[in-house]
Amino acid sequence: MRKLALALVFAIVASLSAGLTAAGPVVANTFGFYIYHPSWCCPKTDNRDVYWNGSTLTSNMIAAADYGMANLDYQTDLRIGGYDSPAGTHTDLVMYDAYYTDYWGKDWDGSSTGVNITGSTKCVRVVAQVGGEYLCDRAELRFDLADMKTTAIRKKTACHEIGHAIGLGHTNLTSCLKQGTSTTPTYSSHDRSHVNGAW
Amino acid sequence: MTVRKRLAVVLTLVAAIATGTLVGTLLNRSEPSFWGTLRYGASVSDGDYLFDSVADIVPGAPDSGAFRAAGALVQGTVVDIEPGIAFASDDSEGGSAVVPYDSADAAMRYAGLVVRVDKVLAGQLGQGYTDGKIRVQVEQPATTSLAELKESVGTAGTGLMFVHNLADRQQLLGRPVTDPAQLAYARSVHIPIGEGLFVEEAAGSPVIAPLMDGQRAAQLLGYTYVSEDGETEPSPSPTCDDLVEPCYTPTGKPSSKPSATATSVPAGGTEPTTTMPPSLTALRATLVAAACAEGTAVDSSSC
Repeated sequence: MRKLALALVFAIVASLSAGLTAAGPVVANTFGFYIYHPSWCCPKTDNRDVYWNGSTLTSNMIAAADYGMANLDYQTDLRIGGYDSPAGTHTDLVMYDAYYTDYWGKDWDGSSTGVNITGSTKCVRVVAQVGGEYLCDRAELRFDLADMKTTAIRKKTACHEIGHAIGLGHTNLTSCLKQGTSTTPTYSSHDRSHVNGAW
Repeated sequence: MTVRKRLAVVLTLVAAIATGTLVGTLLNRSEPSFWGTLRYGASVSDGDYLFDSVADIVPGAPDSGAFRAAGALVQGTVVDIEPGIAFASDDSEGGSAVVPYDSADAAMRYAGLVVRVDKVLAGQLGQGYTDGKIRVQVEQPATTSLAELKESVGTAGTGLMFVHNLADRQQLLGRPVTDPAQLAYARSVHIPIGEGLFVEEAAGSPVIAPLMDGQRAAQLLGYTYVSEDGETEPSPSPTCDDLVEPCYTPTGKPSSKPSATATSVPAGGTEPTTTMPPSLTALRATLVAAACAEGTAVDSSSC
């Protein structure tokens, strides 16, 4: 009986410990949004096949968007479901560009927030899951043409905003999810492990 | 040990593991904070920082040409949250139309945090300061309803807030609000400047900066950022470390904005030596001193 009791205590302690750390991989940036462990960033995309549209993008920016989607397909287990034109009900990512000043009431030039916005992503259709997780059914990605001055910046920003649209948060590692001056146009192994762990 | 006893042991262990895992998971599920619920899951952007320290936000701080300091620094307590303004997702005319707050067409909503102003520390609040309260504009995430936010608003706490009335600021920036519907709203609301809301959720607890990401808050408040895995991360390098094309140095928009770096020394002029954010009291002393230096402190006896 004593052995049984010891085994019982051991099993409870071990599994309690496992339960306490069951929130998923803990790495340098966040992935997805779970209400009981809120992350800095954004909900995960709601399916593995990512359909997108960028029919109003300028030519340079659509090339960058094409690159960004191809890179997503190449680097992760997510797949390009297809290019929707026009955007339909199952389109997951819709991309726009413009010389933004106050679109959506945002301070694009940063004169008030202190952050000059080069690109921005917002999930505009959220799907709540049982258990407090949120997924994104439709994200809108916007690129401020005033800042999209070189191919390197366009590729990095496309990779960055697409990363947010599928659920990745900012990172300090070498990745397109790094804020600011870095022009890395790809995801880090941390980013990939997040995405591929979910899909 | 007989087969029956072995079976009993196995079943007992299975039950224990299931119980432990369930309890662990439940313990993980703490109620989200007001700020966690409000901020996280909102829109997220890439961009370049335009100022280096909290001293740059203080009312009266020099205009850099790209970023202007706040109109006021207040200490206030969050007492409620109200509907603000909502925009549709509409790119047909290059702008976004204002729609009713509860409209199904609303793609972006800004709520108004009702803040009881306990003390104006620097500058002036201007329009929209009535009954001792201001409304501070914050984005309402798509993941959370206003009713859910109201449930926890009582735990939001007290903070030091850099704000400016929206109509006053747009006028100052040379782009006055002219649409009548938006003008009425702009006159009634203050916007946070420099993402500068620094909040003490409970008395004596370190401040949080719910509108900034963690690294930026650490840089501005002068502590070392600790990432999710509990390891301190090196300060972001201002150099281009991983380039596929020649190093890009941001030159900003046509107005040629200066670019701040995340390695800049915070107000106070020292390198971070702690991993803890300051207390509200300590931060207030720093900010009031900065306001005194700019000549905008309301209570000159505190200088």
